[in-house]
Amino acid sequence: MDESAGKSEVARFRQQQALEEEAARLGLYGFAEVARHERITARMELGGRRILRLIEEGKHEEALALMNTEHWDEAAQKTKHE
Amino acid sequence: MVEPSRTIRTLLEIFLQRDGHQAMIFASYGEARYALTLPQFRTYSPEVVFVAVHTSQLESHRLIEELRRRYTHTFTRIVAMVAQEESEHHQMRRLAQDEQIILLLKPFRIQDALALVSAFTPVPPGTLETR
Repeated sequence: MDESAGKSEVARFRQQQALEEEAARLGLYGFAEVARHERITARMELGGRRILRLIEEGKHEEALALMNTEHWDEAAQKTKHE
Repeated sequence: MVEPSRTIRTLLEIFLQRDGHQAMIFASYGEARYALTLPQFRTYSPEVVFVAVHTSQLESHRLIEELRRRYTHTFTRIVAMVAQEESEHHQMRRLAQDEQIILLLKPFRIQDALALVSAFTPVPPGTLETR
């Protein structure tokens, strides 16, 4: 088997896996549960992206400080303590 | 590490590397399960495996099950990264009762994640005095 054939086999396997995972998610839990999960993830993503931006800007200490807050969100942390 | 979220995956990877740890990263559960079938992974036992687990993602539970079986007689610890909102779900409670599994609630403090890795990573000889 040549290398390119091997790689495309791996790519096909991965694609098939991804499709099966999605089908299992929707089939077993339905759209409502999946939507809830997506909302939770989206909220975390927002805080995470802000931290990544800080890292890209070289503000590592700020990023680290934010990542050590409870919700990766300085504003939420302040509100909680007030 | 198995984490479908690119943002969380990247963040964890950055901070693990900054702390001097090597990490193997997988973006999907299928990819990780496939890797477990490869010869180089058959005898390899990492110190810690981080896996994002969600109630609605059957594949995440399948992977946890496979990792548990694979690493039963090793020192490998499985860290299940679970969203705080899902931590009271019966599936997550069951995971929490498993001695091999440690629950890490998301969004987690990075120092907590790094502390877990340090706790289960042997300190190389001679490095203790220099720390």
